[in-house]
Amino acid sequence: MQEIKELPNGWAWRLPSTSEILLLVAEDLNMERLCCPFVNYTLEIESNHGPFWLRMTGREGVKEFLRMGFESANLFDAQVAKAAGFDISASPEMNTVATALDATDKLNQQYARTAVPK
Amino acid sequence: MDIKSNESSSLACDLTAIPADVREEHIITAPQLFAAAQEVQELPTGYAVRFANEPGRFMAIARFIENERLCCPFFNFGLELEPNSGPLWLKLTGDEGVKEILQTTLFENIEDKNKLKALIQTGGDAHLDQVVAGTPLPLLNGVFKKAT
Repeated sequence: MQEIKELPNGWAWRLPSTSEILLLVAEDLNMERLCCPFVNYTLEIESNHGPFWLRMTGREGVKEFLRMGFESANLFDAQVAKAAGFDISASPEMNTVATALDATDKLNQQYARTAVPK
Repeated sequence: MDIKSNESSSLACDLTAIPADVREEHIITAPQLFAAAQEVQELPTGYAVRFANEPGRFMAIARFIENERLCCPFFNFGLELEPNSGPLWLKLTGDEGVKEILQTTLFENIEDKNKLKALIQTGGDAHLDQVVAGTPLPLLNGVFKKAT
């Protein structure tokens, strides 16, 4: 992850333009679209070996859900995350399935609390 | 990048840019992929092709892009997954001249062998020349009409 840009309805990630990254992202999105079907995923490959941009967008609530998700898992370079305004200082490393499942549970609970009308 | 500032020959498909062990596979699988297209939409700088969100389709498109971006580096590729199991959109766009190349390969019968050789360059590989000559073009196989 080289850069994160905020979009009106989501986030864009700049990635290195290698074949390995392209297939890795594709494999990940192939799964991600099943667990988070409400997200619109767009992978842009710029011409002349330019960077890859992965955009995750969606209807109201999706952008905030994604932000919570990014902050709930220590997946990113600290400098890139900080530059984008994400606080990952307290987020755990996603190095086991149990940790990932636990983080997903907490994310869903956190988002449910913010999304339920008072 | 301003493609116009380069020689026009830079807007040709250079198959030799693809690793040798997957070149032939790419030539053969690309028409198979486009044969599954369900819709094509014209964009200001290219075309968007819709595919059903079927098992394996997304990865097939990703593998197509993996190689196509090497032989045709002047393309911008966009791969969009609509939410809630919606369709997949492959967008092929680019700077000046790119849309014309897309029109030719997607919609036109290229009966002139020399034109085909100039458009899809094999580096003089006779076997690849044969494979290219046997490729079913246009990629969209006449099902879709070129926008006028």
